[in-house]
Amino acid sequence: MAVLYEMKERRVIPNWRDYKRTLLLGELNESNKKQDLVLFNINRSIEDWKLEKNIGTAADLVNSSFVSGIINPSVHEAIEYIKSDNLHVSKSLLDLAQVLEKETQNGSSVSNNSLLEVDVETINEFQAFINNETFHRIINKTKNRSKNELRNPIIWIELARLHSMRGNEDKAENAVLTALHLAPNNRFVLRSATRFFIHNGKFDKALFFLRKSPRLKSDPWLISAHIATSSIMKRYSPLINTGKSMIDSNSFSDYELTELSSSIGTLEFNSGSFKKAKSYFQRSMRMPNDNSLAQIEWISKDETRLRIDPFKFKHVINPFEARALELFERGNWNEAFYNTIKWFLDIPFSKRPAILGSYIAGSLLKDTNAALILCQVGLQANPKDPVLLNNLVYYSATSKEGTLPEHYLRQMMDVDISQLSEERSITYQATLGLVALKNEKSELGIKYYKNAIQKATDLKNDYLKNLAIINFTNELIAQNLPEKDEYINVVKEMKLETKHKDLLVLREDVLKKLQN
Amino acid sequence: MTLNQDNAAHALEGKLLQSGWQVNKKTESKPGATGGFFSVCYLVTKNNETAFLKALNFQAFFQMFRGSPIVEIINEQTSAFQFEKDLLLRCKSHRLSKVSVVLDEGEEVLDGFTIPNVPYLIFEMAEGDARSHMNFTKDVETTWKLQSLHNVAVGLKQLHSVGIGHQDLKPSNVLMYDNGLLSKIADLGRSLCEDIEAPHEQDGEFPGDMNYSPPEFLYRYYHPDWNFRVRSTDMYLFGSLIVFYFTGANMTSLIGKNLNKQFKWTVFRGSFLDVQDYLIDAFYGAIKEFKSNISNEDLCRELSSIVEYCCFPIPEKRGHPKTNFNHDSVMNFNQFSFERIVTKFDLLYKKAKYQLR
Repeated sequence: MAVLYEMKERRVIPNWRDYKRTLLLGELNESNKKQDLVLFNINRSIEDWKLEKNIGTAADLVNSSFVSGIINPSVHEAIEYIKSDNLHVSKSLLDLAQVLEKETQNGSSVSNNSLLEVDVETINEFQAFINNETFHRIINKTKNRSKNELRNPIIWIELARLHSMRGNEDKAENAVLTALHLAPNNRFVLRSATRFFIHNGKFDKALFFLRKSPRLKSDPWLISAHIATSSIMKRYSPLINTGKSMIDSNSFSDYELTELSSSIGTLEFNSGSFKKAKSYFQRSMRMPNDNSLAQIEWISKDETRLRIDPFKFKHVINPFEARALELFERGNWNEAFYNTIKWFLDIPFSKRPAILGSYIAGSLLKDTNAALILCQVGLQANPKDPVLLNNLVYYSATSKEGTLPEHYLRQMMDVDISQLSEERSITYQATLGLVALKNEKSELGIKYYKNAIQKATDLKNDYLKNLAIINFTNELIAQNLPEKDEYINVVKEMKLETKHKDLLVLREDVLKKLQN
Repeated sequence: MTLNQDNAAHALEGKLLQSGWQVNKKTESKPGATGGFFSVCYLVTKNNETAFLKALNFQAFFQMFRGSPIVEIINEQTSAFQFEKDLLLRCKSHRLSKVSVVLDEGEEVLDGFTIPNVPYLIFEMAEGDARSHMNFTKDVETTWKLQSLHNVAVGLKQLHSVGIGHQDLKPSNVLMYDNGLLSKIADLGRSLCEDIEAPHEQDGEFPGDMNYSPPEFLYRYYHPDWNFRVRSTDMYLFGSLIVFYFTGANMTSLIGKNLNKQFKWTVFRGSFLDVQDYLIDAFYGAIKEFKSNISNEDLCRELSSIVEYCCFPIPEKRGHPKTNFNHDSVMNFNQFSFERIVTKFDLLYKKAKYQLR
């Protein structure tokens, strides 16, 4: 049985993207700072240019104009002079003149609220993107850059992210620690490091480096990360009140406060203060980013009073997670699937898009090939992840070929079920039951499935119970085992909530099989 | 009577000065020539030597600062003139060979003017500044560039040895002599001196041309130690000059070009501390760009290494890497010494001249 969601509760953990995209998303802005700008004067360069026009005085004027941001007709003349003098000009100077020329024209850098390193239209394009050869080239290039730019914390974080995408946790951690050593107070570095440590279950380290930074108490993006990390650890963050004061202070833009408001809203919601939670979520929705939008979409799965339409927030860049969740809820599997792909491309080390995407592709779109590709890609970044292993084995077993991947199966068998959450152990046992049935060990298979169903019943988790029963029945019919009649009746009489559209589809598939 | 008619500084043409110099004709302040709005410039001769005279123009003070207190204006401008003169005389007395020094100085009194006194400085005549010799095309005039940069490095070393930090090194302040074979540093008007207080010295602000400024000053960060600040600034300006010679862009421009717009000093209102990591990233982008302008691998490696330690955007991490950045060594400022740079440029110039590999 495949898993749909990896976690029960979602927190506003910082998303970790490459530096360029993080900049374009505006997450590194400092709108509350008001230091006076320095004053410039380019008269001397203008006078010199007027007195003697040559490539040297043109270069001098263009440099002065670019540095000062002052543009006037003489500067335009100098730009034209540089552009027309191929004999004496370097590529850098020509570029500088062209950049300066462009700066006088306004242009938007982000369109279609999508900002991905690469966009894909089909699963084959997706597979081509993540193929190892391309990736190795990128990682080697970044490694070389880090060697040449030893004191550049940004490049070390970029390297860590690439290592994380391939599941090289140790190498990634070394790179993250180097970046933290170089820039212990940098927002981009700290937020990336927080996400890295949380991704690898090292919550203490995430908090340690946040706490160590004197910047923490004055930066809403870091306070939000601190509150979210403490919340995962079931700890109280001493910065909650600071965060609340910050929200009330009017010193920051709505965008700068969106994650912080969402983090505090989530805390209030989990502690049962719906009214306060609603107020903070409303604040976070004044100018949400992809993370705060996904957070409210997630919360609203179980709390209809907080329902929003993520499609109405047209300015949000990379809203793929929120849209994937919403489209899944609406039963629009195809669109939901492509949003999980984009979500994965946006944050390629995360397992959540791979898990949801594989479920939609394999169980609902009946494209087990796509499901397997997503699981494999997810496992590259998260080797031995029990949920991804479970889904991969499940979709291998239910594919047309039905070949069980021995390598992954062994890894799955090595997982200590007692260490898994109760929900995960249910899906795990059901999948082991399927594997046993495929291996013609009917008795063992039935035992595993029955255990899974019983456990779900004990947990009062109707969703998992029904999912396990539908899957079990499907396999009993396929193998024409005598127990099938009993379970067919259970499936027929199953009462499903309309919000579980995936279960409605899966039951329909089973019933159709009977008619055939 | 117009302002110029009642202006002694404008009336020197044809006069024989008490110092023996014959004033020939008034001249426009050539690009790079010291002077500017407060000076009137002339060509002068003495014993077949042609030189450049800069006369202090008192009238210009009143035109420029109309409505300001007159005593303050006169005090400020005469202090600036006196300061530059003192530094130039110090350079002359120490026979600094790579600094454009003053040949003579004095004060002429012309009767019939409201202000009859004309203080002046006479400089050796230059052929122009570095900009007029520039060709930024890849691998063109490399030998000349290395020679000129060697001269400039020697000039800076000489200035530091007499307690002067230039602080305004830029292409227009590198003057050419001897058919361009000799380069000298000019314009000490914005310099700082260990033992003479400069009239333009304010709270550690950058005294030079802001368009060539090291990045820290653009975000209003001033290192508290005078020696550290002055030396690290000259080192940055020298590295930036190397970049200009080979690309036509100065280092500050290249950093700005590789820096995201939201962090650029013309819009970013946070502190230097807030922006420094992004400056480092942009700086490495600038170095990469600089390297792409030099084909010769050895030269590219040598020059980029010098530029990297001269122009590192964080002043505390600027300077020669072999110097340990512990407290003691920072205080002797060995990391900002031009000794190594002079030796390196001498070698690079000779290699290029004799086409050695």
